[in-house]
This record gives sequence, C-alpha cells and structure tokens, in this order.
Amino acid sequence: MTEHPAASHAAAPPGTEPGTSSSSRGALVIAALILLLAVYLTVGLITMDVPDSAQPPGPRFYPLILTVGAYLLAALLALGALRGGSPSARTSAGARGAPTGDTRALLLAIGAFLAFIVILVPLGWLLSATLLFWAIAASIGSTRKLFDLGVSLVVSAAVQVAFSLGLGLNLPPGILGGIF
Amino acid sequence: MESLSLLGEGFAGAFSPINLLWVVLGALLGTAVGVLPGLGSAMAVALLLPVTFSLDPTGAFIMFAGVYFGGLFGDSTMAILVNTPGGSTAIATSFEGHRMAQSGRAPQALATSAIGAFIGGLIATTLVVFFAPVLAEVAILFGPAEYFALAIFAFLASASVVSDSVLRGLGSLIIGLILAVVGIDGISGTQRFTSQVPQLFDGISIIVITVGVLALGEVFNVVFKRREAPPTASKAMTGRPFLTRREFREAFPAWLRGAGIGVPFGVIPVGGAEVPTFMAYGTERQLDRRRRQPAFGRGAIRGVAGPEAAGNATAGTAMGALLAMGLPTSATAAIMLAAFQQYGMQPGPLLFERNADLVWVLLASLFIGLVVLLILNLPLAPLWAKLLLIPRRFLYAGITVFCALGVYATSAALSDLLLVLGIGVVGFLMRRFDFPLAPVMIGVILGPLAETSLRNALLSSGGDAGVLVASPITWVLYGLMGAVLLIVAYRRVRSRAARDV
Repeated sequence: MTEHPAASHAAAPPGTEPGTSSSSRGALVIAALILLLAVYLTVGLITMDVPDSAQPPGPRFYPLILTVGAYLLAALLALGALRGGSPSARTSAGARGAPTGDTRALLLAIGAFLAFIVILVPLGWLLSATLLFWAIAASIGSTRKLFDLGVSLVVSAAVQVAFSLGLGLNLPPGILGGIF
Repeated sequence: MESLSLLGEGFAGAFSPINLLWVVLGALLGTAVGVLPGLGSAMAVALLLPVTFSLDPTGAFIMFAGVYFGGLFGDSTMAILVNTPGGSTAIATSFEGHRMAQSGRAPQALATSAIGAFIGGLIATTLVVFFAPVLAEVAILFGPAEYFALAIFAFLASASVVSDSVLRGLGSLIIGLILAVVGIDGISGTQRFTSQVPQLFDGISIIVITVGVLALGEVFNVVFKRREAPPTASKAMTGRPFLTRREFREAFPAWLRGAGIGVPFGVIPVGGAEVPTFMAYGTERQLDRRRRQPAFGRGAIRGVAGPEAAGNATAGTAMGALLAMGLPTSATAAIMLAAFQQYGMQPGPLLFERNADLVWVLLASLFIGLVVLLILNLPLAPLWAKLLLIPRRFLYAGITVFCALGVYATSAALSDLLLVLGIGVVGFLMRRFDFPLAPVMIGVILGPLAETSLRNALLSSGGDAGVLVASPITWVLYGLMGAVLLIVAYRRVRSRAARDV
C-alpha cells in the first residue's frame, strides 16, 4: 500500500499532527469560557428573584446542577490542558490543519458583522448588507476590491428584492427608504 | 390500513401544482445549501425558515420536506467530489466516495449516494407512515421520568460518541445546556440569567444558536484560515451518473444494511445521523475484509452506499419521532420543532388528532421530496459541484449575509444579531480547538426537556429521586444507554486497532 493513511481524512494535510500543543492550549480557552459561564450562572443564581409560589424543586434547582457541572468540567479541562498531552489525538475529519491563522482577518470579519448590526437600522439593509458582504470577502482575501463592491451591491439588492418585495419580509429600508 | 387511506388523502392534498412547486423549490434550495462546505441540512432549514413565513402552514411544511432531505442529498455531493463534506453526516461517505472520484468513478459514486439516500429515506418514511400512530400511542405512556431518561441518554451518547474525548464532549454539552437555560422559567415564571434584558426573556432562539454555531462559526473559521484557493474540483465531473447492473447488485445489500442501521437512530437521540453513518461505514468495511478481494481503500461502492442510506434513514425516522413524540433527535428536527411552534402547533401524540390533515400532507410530501431529489440529483449532481466555482470569498460572504438575514428576519431584533455574533465566535473557538459541535446542539435542544421533566417528576413524587428509575420503561432506557455506550467503546477500540486497510 503506497497510500498515506492521512489521505482518507478530510482536512488533515500530512505533516501536521493533530492534538498538538495548540489543541491543548485551546482546551484552556474553552475551559475559561465554561468558567465564565459558570460564574455568570452563579451570579444569576444568587440574584434570582424566586416567587414564593414556586414549589420545590424550584427554578434554581436545575441551573444549580449545571453550575456545579460547569465548574467541574472547567477544572478538569484546564487540568488536562495544563498536563500537556491532550488525550484526544483527533485523527478524524474534524482535525484542523494549520496551527496558526490570520487573526487580523478574523478581527476584521467580526468587526464587519458588528458594524453591520450598528448601521443596519439607520442606513438600511441595502447599504449595510453590501458592506458586510464586501468586508467578509475582503477578509477572506481579495485582489479586486472594486469588482467585489459591485458584486456585494448586486447580492444585497437581490436579497432585498427577493425577500422584501417578493416575500414581504420586513427589512429596514434606512436612508434609501424613499427610493423603494 | 387506516394509515394508507390517510396517506392517500395526504397525497391528494400535496399533489396540487402550487404544493408541488414548493416541494421542488425546497428540494433545490435544500440541496444548494447542503452542497456548500460546512453547511448541512440543519443550516438549510434554519436559513430557509424566514422564507416560509409568507406561506400558509401546509405550503411551509411541504417546502420543509424538500429542504429536509435536500440538505442530506447535497452534502454528500461535495464529500465525494472534493472531499469537503457538507455536514458531519457526510464524513463517512467521503472516505470511499472521494477515492471513487479520484479513480474516475465520480458519476458512479454520486449515483450510488443519491440512490442510497433515496432508498434509506424511502424505507424510513414508509416505516414512519405505518408506525408513527403506534409511536404516538407509546409516547402517551411516557411520563416525565421517561422523558428525562431519554434526555440523559441523548446527552451522554452525543458527548461520548461524537468526540474522541468524553471530557471535550461534555464541555461542549454544558455550553449548550447553559445557553438553553436563559430566559423565563416556564414552570414558575421566574426570570433566569437574563440580566434584566427584556430581549432575553424568551430565551435564546434555537435559530440564533444554530446559525451562530454552525454557520457563522464556520465562516470565521474559513476567514481565520484564509483558504482562498478553491479545492481543485475533480476532473471526473463529466459523464452521466449511471450504474451498471453489476454495480447496482453490488451496492444493493449495502443500501439495505445502511437503512437498517439508520432507522433506529432516528428515534434514539444521539445527535443526528453522524453515529449511524459511521456505524454503517464500519459494518461495510468489516464485511469487506472477509471477501476474497477487499475493495475498501480503493473506492468501494459499498462504502458509499451504506453510510448514505443510513444517514437518510435516520433523517426519515427522526421526522417520525418529532411528529409522534415531539422529540427532536437532531438539530434539523429541533428547528422543525421551532417551525411547528411558530405556527401554533405542538408536535407530539396529539398532533395526529388535532392537525391530522397537515401531518399526512407533510408525510406525503416527504415521499414526493425524495422522488424529486432523486430525479434532481442523478443527472444534476455534477452541476451542483459547479457551485464550488464561485470564488470562496463570495461563497462565505454570501453565507454571512444570509445568516444575518435569517436571524434578523425571524425576530427583527438587533439583540439577536449581537447574540448570533457572540455565539459565532464561540463556535469558531470550538472549531479551532477541536471541540465537537453536535453536543452543543443536543444540549440546547433537549436541555429544556430535561429540566421540565426532571422537575415535574420530582414535583409529583414530592422530591423522591427514586421516581426517576421507578418504571420499567426507564429501566429499558437506562439499560439501552449502557449497552450503546459499551458498543461504542468496543467499536472505537477496535477501529483504532485497525485503522487502515
């Protein structure tokens, strides 16, 4: 058999080992996220305003189980990550190849979505969706910015026509409202 | 034979020109979304939900029937042609399917997959027609303790089966469970974890979570990795997909075995069709090893036939479980549940009495949808692959715009857009660091069921936890859970020991 075993797996270019340090460091990130959620639940549990009519087991009962579970899991995940070798040598198609990525592009994409939310109502669907489309395309990597802008405008307009005029969905018209 | 006459009426209702149009449209759109890498049938339903708002309930559900199976037909197309499975359910297909494509047999692989999906869906939907009313009667026997057992079953199964590390699976699960607990408590009316934000009183919508985790998370992942170069489409995309009689005979038993494996998993909630597709793949490989000339590893037609039939069989019976028991066993089913509720209907035993006409039209539409999809996919599969000729940046920019549209159109709330962004970032982090996504969805979907049934059980027993394991049905469920976990552990150890052929 000349075939490389990794060839059978979707996104695992040969040479990259799954479950490397980035993956175990990653477990730490998710552990922190779960810890954050657990703290949010704890605060919520303490400040919860339970009506006297609530019969036991009341509204606190189940979230309490989740909170304890979340602290426990955060601790176990963090422990596993700090000990280094993550037991999960994922070789299935879920394994992610490149250990590093483009953080700037990612932030640009997230920022674009945030900007979309901010300008959606004041500027309207047409302009904000154009911007969103264009910015995401640019963050993935584009060499033809002006051409992309045209495509963005066409897509955004097509959605507006199909969904707003055609199907009657309520999309914010914004400053261009008078034109349509 | 009451079912047959009712189904006949359903067909009569579904066979109006306008309804047929909705099925075809749904099948086309579902396939189109399913073909896109990273987006499976759950996303197809979620993104197309707003489209159906302007239709009457019957038209909407008929369209869903097309979308539902369409997503599954679509995701294996990409798995075979370019080795990028549309959804996790197509991963098993991609192994042998892509090898077939590489050796110039892409049309045959596509045909095998399309026919397999058709047969699996057909068998499962037929079973649903005859057994859904029975299932509805069984469901009446289910009390809170039994539903709680089902939910626990689903949690443990999805957390342990889908990921290689149980701890990571449980971590994903708890994120989903916590997301689902936000909002006003249905039993006592208490505000929980809303931080006094009125937009959170109704909880976080399943659509927001699905779009965030599955779609936006994927977009961010693509952006982060910046893979602008499109995967080189296989040269063997031309030619009509057809199977010789020999190939057909070769694939036929695998289709049936796959369907057999897939059918029970529609009712057992383990997080969708991922498990049965891998089980079908494993079974076919085991059987293949015993043959004189093992074909696996060189593009075995059975390696495509089995998983495809299993995946669609699961989807078919999942629809039965949703309609008859009100139990969503996959993310797709959960969104369908949300759609039912949007129209003021509650799936479950009573649905067959209250909305019988709609249910039977829906079931009939599933059959029509399957036929339409087979017709669409046999000749058109290579055409779908042309979607990949769209530059990646436009593909994902378009997905992002549709995410925003889908979320905003369902609620018209900017707060939901903020939530979907936050959840999308979480979805990205989980992808980036190899945390499985299916348990998140199962946690979100079944978390509320677990809580209400647990509290109702304890409420009626006066706080005695023994009630949770008091009935024979719960014994069966917990016993089954143990058995499934053991089998999974055993199979995993074995498949690890014999990874390559």
